Amino acid sequence: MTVIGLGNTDMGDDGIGVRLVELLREQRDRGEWGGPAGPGRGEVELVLADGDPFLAGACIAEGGSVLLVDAVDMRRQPGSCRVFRPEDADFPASGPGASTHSLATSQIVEIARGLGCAGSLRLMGIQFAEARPGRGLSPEVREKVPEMLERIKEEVELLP
Amino acid sequence: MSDTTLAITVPYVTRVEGHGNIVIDMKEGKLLTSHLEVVEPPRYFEAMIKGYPYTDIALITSRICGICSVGHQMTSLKATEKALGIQVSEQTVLLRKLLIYGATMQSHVLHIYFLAAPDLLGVPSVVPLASSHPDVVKMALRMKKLSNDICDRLGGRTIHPNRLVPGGFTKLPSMEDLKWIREMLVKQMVPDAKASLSLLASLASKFPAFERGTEYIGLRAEDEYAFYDGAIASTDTGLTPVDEYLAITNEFVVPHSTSKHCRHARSSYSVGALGRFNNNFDKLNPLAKSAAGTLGLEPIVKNPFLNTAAQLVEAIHVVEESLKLLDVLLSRGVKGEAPVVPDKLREGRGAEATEVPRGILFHDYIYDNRGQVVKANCIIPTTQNTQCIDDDMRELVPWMIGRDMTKEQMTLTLEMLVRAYDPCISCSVHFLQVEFRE
Repeated sequence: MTVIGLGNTDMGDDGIGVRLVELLREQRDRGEWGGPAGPGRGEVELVLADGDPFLAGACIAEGGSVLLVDAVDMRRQPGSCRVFRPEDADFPASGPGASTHSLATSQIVEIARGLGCAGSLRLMGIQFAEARPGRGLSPEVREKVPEMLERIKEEVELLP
Repeated sequence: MSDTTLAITVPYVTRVEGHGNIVIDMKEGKLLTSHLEVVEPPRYFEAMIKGYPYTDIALITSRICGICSVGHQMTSLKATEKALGIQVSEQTVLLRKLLIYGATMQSHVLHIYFLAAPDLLGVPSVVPLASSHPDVVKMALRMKKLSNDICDRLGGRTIHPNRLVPGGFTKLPSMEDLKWIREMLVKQMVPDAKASLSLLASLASKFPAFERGTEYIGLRAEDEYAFYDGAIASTDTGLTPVDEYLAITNEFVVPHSTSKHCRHARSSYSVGALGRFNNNFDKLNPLAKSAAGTLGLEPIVKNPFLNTAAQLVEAIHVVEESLKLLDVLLSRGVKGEAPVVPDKLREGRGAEATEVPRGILFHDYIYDNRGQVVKANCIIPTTQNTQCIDDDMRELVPWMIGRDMTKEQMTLTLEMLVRAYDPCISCSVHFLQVEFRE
């Protein structure tokens, strides 16, 4: 079971996925969160895929349940989030190619589908307010961080 | 060909690590333009680090490139240590080499499978390969993740490692880390590398059979296939000490590129996997040398498209070399060493070179007596290859016309050429849109 934070923390809210997974790691290190509590549930791997989206693809290709956390544009209130399965959403057609520095989330989903791993993939999209050069989250997104962390923990319990 | 009129423009690529265009213009059989235009703006790293203390420089210059971040850190650390007279321990050198090998695997796997393989398999990107060749994509992702994990366990992060400082490591890997890396290399990477060899050998006929000999440059050391250290070796002129690197690079500017160009004994030279392979073939480990034979590579390889094949040979070599280093480290045990600090800060200059995945990389710093940078110069591999790509294009275009290629085939072949050099601008070349001026 894997939770992957995607994004670029040098681009404002674009880094929210990475920041949330960092915070979960800190909570786990402090003993405040022990991962999924249900019987027979294994440990959760917390992965930071900042700067290397291929890492997300690699984690998905390993099999197992994956929750991908990323900033998205859902045309909703900044800071709102939604968890969905790949088949629940239409993704814009991806460009013709991956590159050393870029693999769009839609391409990661396409790869997961191609590899037959999309069934155990969930996405948690977070509406960003600002995605522009600079560190730190916008106030609208920052104030929702505690709720987002709880939502991830709930989803981890529900992951197949 | 005498009356051929041809115009190919592969315009404007918008990516962080480099923007490039391919421009070909031939009128009535006369090739007027054959350029790789690099249009990226200057990034000012050399000016940015002026006034910063020696402890910060490698962390800043690492950010020059996300793929070669280990290489930039390593070269930067060596240059700083040379300037300030810091002698690192043998254990530090062994661990640094191990990290370089991990980063080389990381980058070569990425280029071979995610940038070059789609061309060889006739698809636009790795994405459709997930459906058509799922086992290959899974293997590639597995190799990439293991390379990432190796860098993480040694350097503290998968990219931009944070444990490397002048004089050593702030945190050393544990014996358990080293045992894990060894086990995973044997259990996973060796079989995957062998499978990769079989796969690439089956696709070897897809590489264009174009040859253009040039000067090949790379580091060369007495006792190993050089990545970490050595003298500058040229297939034309032999060895040159790294301190004299400016006599090799001879940077110059051209109107069509914001990247400087380089030349040495000829109008251009080539660095990268072929630059290393052609200067270090005799130093390859047995499996890697055998892999070169399987792929039909024997120095001097003059086909630039085969840089990708040479990368796979190197990927196999660094796995073998990593296992050797791990055996040494595991038998000795990891000693708790604090980073070496200079007894007294002093004025000094240090020029150093390391082989990073895309070729030889130079960092050169002048420090004042407070340990702050006064002047810096960094010459990256892509800068050294741009003139070589232009020269290749100049011969490749008539070569393609002579084979009655369609414009679409020519455009793809030109893009493949640029990708073969695995330049930083390759981060975008698969997004290229083609427009014809006619």
